[in-house]
This record gives sequence, structure tokens and C-alpha cells, in this order.
Amino acid sequence: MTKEELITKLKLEIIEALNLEDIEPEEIEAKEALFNEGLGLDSIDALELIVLLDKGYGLKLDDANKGKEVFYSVESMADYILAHS
Amino acid sequence: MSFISSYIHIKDKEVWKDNTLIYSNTEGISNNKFYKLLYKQLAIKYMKFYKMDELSKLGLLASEYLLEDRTLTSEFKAEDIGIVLMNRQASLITDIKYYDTIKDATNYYPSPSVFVYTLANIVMGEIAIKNNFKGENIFYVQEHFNAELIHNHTERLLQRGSQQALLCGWLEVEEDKIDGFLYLVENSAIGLKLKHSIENINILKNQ
Repeated sequence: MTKEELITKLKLEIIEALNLEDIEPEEIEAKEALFNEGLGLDSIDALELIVLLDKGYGLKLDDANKGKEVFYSVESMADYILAHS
Repeated sequence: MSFISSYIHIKDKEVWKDNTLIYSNTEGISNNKFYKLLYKQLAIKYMKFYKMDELSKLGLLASEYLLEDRTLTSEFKAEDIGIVLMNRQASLITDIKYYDTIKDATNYYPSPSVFVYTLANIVMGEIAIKNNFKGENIFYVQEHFNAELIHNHTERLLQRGSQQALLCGWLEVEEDKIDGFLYLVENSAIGLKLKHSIENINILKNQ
């Protein structure tokens, strides 16, 4: 799977996992911040993203300090998945 | 003396406000589809709505209809606006949904976003956050709608002056039916101007 394909897949998975029903995949910029600004996700959403990584990609985030970096954007998530799978 | 100024009843895919049918859907749609249609009809922009469980969606929608033409925080101090709710099954429908995420040891992924709604009183928090209410609140779990219990608790809060307005009612969500009944009680005789009594609460609930 290419990075672009993974980003598209992740956008769909994030919309489903976080119930972002009024948002279309193309409305999410790959480099855009997921938290605070951007999609305005909260701490519970962060936990859901951790579950998504585990359930969908078998990846556990061992170092909690890396969360900010990994979940900064869809692109950073894709980079982390590609580097660890 | 206190009065019921307005009420809302969402039941059987219908929405009644102050004795008037304001929305009806006869297409046999799911509860969630129904909530979404009401959300669109109310034209509110509140992304968090989609993340809520059924009980919170029902409560939030009922409160939005009830307060459509009022901004209580411009009339009362936020600390003086309370909530008194009741239902039979607490958050059972969401508890089951959460259990589904943990019952299989080989597919054990507890959902944080479902877990946070596994308490019935979360719906009061959602209504309070949306409307900036900071008053007292309580959620009773009773076998049947108990107008006397809600009435007496509400009257105590009003009579001792700690609350000036209260959203009260019954919010029940089951697999195939919903029953959301909310009414507003305050000291002024406005709107329906209906005396706040156990008898009147039961009349409104059973209409």
C-alpha cells in the first residue's frame, strides 16, 4: 500500500471511529493538525486513535510521549504505520 | 408558586411541544436516523452530537427543542439553572454496546468513546455543557415514571431559592423505542403558565 492509499484509508477509518458524520474524507487535510485546531479532536478521540492503531494495524504505542508526534496529523500517523509495519 | 412554562415529548418518532405536533416521521427509520433528522431540523451546529450515545442524543435534542426560543442563562444565573431527570434503565443500552467491545477475549478492544457514556447522568452533563448551566442536578433511576419524586425534589430546590429554573423529565432509550419527556419549571408564570403539580406533570407525560 502506498502512503497516499494509506492516508485515504486512515481518513475513512478516523471518520468511522470518531463518528465524524458530517465530514467527508477530502475535507481532512493530510498535514492538518488533528487536535485543538483542525478537526478539533479531544482526549477521548486520542484514545480511540490509539485503539485504531492497535486494532487495525497491530501497533501499540509503547512510548506515551510519542503520541503527540504520531497523532499530530493523518500524514504523521501514516508515516508511523509505514515505519513500524 | 412555581409553573411549568413549556414541555417537549419525543416519542414514537414524533415530537410534541406544548400540545402541538412539530415533527413526525412514519418511515420506520432507526432511532439513530431519527436523531440525525431532528438534529438537521433544529439546524444546530454541534459536532459533539454525533459522538454522543443514544441517551445523550435524546436528552440534548429534547432540551434544544424545549429551549428553542429561550436563552436561560440570559435570564438566570448559570448556577441557578438545574436539571432533574429520571429513567428506568439508566445507561443500559450503552452498557451493552460497551460490553460488546470487551466480551471477546480474542478481540478485546475496549472503546473509550463508548465507555464515557456508561453512566446515565452523563446526559445531564451534555445538556449543561451545551447550555452553560451550572446548577444542581440529579438523575433518578426508577421502575416507572415517578412524577411525585421529581416534583418534590424540584419544589424543594425552588422553595429554598437555590435554583430558579429546572429542566425536568424522563429520558428512556430502548432498542426499538424512545421516550423523551422534558419540561421547564420556573417561578414565573410564562408560556404554558401551568401550575407545577404532580397531577399536571402526569397529564403532560401521558398525553
